[in-house]
Parts: sequence; C-alpha cells; structure tokens
Amino acid sequence: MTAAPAIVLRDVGKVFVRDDGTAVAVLEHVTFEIAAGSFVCLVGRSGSGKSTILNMIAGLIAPSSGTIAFADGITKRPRLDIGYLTQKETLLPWRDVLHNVAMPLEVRGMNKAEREVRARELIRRVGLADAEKRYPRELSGGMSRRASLARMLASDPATLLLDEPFGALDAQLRGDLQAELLQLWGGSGKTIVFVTHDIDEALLLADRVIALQSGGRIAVDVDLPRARPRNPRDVRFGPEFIALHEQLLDALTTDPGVRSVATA
Amino acid sequence: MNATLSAVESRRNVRARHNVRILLARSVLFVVVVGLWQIGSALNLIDATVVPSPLAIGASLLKIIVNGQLVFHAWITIQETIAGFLIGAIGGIVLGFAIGRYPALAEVLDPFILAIYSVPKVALAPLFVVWFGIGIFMKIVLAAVTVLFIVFFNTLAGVRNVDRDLVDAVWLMGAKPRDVLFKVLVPSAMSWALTGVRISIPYALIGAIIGELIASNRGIGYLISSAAAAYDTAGVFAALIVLTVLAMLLNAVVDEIDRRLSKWKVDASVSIRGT
Repeated sequence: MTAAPAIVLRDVGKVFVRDDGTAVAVLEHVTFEIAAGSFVCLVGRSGSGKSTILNMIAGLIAPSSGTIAFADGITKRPRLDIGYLTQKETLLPWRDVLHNVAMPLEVRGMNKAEREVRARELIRRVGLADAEKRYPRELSGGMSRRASLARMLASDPATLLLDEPFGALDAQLRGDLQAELLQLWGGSGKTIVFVTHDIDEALLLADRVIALQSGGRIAVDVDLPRARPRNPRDVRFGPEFIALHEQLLDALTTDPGVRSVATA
Repeated sequence: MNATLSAVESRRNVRARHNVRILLARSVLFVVVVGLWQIGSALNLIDATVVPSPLAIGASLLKIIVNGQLVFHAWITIQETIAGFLIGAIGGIVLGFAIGRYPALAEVLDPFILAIYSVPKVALAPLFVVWFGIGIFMKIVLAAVTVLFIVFFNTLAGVRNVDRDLVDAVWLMGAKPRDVLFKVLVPSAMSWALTGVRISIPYALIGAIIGELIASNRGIGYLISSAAAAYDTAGVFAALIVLTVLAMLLNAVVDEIDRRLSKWKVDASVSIRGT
C-alpha cells in the first residue's frame, strides 16, 4: 500500500484505573499506520483493546501515552470528519428515523430542508425509505443498524470507525449488511477501521487485517488481495485465504489472554 | 380475504359480547350490594348513625346538588388542585433540571432533599395554616409542595439516568453543549419528569383535600369535616361520593396523558412514588 497514512498511532498506551484503585494496562506500545482510503480490520478477542483503540481514534478517550495523529495535523476533538458506529445502538429513541439520520447535520447547523433531503437520500440508499417515520423501538435489529449506518454517513465523514457493528445480527442479515457496507464504501475513498472478533468477517471485508493480542500486541498484520466482492465461502475455504485464516486463528488462540480478567 | 374479514368481524363480536357481559355483571353486583345495604338499613340491621342507608345518602347528595353547595365546594377544590399541581409540576421540572445539570451540587444536596422528601407533607399542613392562614392559598401551597417533590425527584433521576452513550454519540457528531442539553438531556429526562407529573396528579387532589380537612370553610374536604362534626354521616358519604367522582375524572386525565406519552416510550420506569 502506497497511499499516505490517514491515521498514525505511535507508541500508544492506555491505562484504566478500576474502581478498586488498581491500574490495568489495556494497551502498551501500539504503533501502526492506517492508509487513506483503506479498509482495515482489527481482529482480536475481547480484552485485546481493539475497542479502546477505536475510542481513542474517535477522541472519546485520550491515550495515556503516545500519540494518535491525523494527516491534516488537527488535534481538536471530536473530529468532524469521523463517523463512529458502535455495537450498541445509539439512535435517539424520541426521534424517528428521518430525524435521527439528520441529527449530525442538524448539530452542524445545516438548514432543515437541505438536511432532510440529504437524510432521505441516505435512508433510501440503506433501504429504509418506508420506515423514515418510525421510531427506533419500532425497528428490527437490522433496520436499526441500517438507520445507524445512514446517520454515520450523513455528514459524509472521510473516516469511518465501526466497532463490531453487525455482531448482534443473525448470519443472514450480517451478510446482507456487510455487502451493503462494501457497496456504500466502494469508490468513496473513505478510510474504514473496522473492529471485529470474527476472522471470516475480517477476511471478507478488509484490505488489511491486523490481529491484536492482549495489550494491543500486533500478532499479525497482513494485506489481502483487493478483489471484491469476495465470496464468504472462499474466504473460509479458498486456497488463497486458507493459510491466512489459519494464521489469524493461531494469533487469536495463542493469545495468552488478558492478564487481568478484562471486563471490556 | 373474505375469510379474514369475517374472522376479524367475529373476533370483534366476541369482544363486544364479552364487554357487555362484564358491564352487566358489574351492574348486577352494584345493585345487589346497594339493595342488600338498603334492606339491611330498613330492617335496622345497620346503625344509621354509623352507615346511613343508600337512600339517605342519595337524598343528602340531591340536597347539595340542588342548593348549589356541591358545585360551589367542588369548584373550590378543583381550583386548588389545578393551581397546586401546575405550580408544583413546573417548579419540580425546573428545579430538577437546574440541580441535575450539576452532578456535584446534586450529590451535596442529596441527603437534605431526601430528608425533606421523606417528611409526610400532611404533617406540614398545621405549619402552613400558621404561615398562610386558612384560605385557599394554604391548600394550593400544600398541593404544590406535594407535587413538587414527586416531580422534582423524577426529573432529577431522569437527568442522572441519561444514557452516556447517547451523549457521547451526539458529542462525536460535533454537537455543542447547548445541543447536548436540549437535544439529549431534556428529551431523555423529560419522559421521567412526565412520569413524575403523571403520578403526582392525584397527590395534588390529596394535598388540597387534606388542607381543607385541617382548616377551612369551603371545599369538598370542608363538606366532609363539617358533616362529620354534625354527626351527619349521610352528608359525609355524599361528599365522599363527590370526591370519588372527582378522583376518577383526574385518573381519566392521567390515563389520557399516559396514552400520549407511550408513543416512543417502551416502559414507564417509575422510580419513586409519592408519599
């Protein structure tokens, strides 16, 4: 990959202090770069610190040590060119789909007519045109995710952070949404950092897969063939993926585990 | 299509027939109980000075309807209830948000607020008589204080229970503090606040009635206490019937509010009930 790095993590460490006062080092000396326009998957077991990395890139929490830098050198947080889709649903329950999707534009002061046109277009693209007046509790799991995807894309962010976004969906729906995500991303030039514990998902989606072990230790960092769309069956059994799959699985299963009974 | 329609139709019929039967059963129950009561009174099995006959109560009720006392006193009580409710509800919401926005302040005030909240408001009535006299204002204050604490507590709990993840999500969109307040905190806590408002409505009536019972010369509470003082139990029962109807009307208002609130709310999580 030759593209310029969009995000650079240098020697990043994160220490959380638990309620009983003991400190837990979730990440230690994590260093890697993310190329602009690439689709990077971070795979790791729970407690490997992968979500913490996303939270730090998003600016929700600050690193305890080291730096996270963006290509434009802006250090102000939150960055407005980042879209973040968490595993937990964060649609506002008192707003219908249309007003949820328009929310990022609303807080940036776009006028009502303009933002609703844009929100409707995105709602249509994620296949929720018939549901724009529904409230979050009236949506199925898949529909909520689609609405969240649309909301994330509303402000047209250059970087998308996704934290196990499809983890709670059934396999069929997950496949549909993975395909839709690739379609929405394709040709957009957006940089994606996608966290998952599912090796198949990583191999299906990413340009590059980074396997994290506890403490954020990078066990595997590998570029994938760029051809898409990939067949879910191929990434599991296809000859060019089988070695990769094994390598990643090894990285996760030989993980000595989180020393401190991780809660995350 | 036809089959479905007729299935719906017949389900509706079953439902309607069921409702008629329930209504019938209730009417029969009412007539039988009141009838037995009347017979018992007529045979002197029930002491009329303790429990007057339904006919005597009816006559007493008719008397206050005809001479205009019912409307006069009920209107006083309704005014006290509504005024007390409005003052208490608005004050409770404003106070809840004001203190809830400053978690440290809320934490400092916690035990004091709880102490005041724990005092049965009825016990304050004599003090309010001293402070505000025995006029309508004292009843309004008593109703307002009762309502205020219920609404305030629920609002405060709502502000404290705002989902941090929602706040984070909106902050990440680039929202200003003002947006976070009005687009996340207020709507999120508002459902709690309104739950408090809903619960507090009957307490406004209770506050007003207790104020009237303690010291007054008008209102339903006064009707009850003055009839009792004259050993006019029929008059007491008649006033109680008026009070029951008033309370049922208020409950109907509460149900209507509930229905409108349930639009997006999944569960009306009620944390604290009034005393």
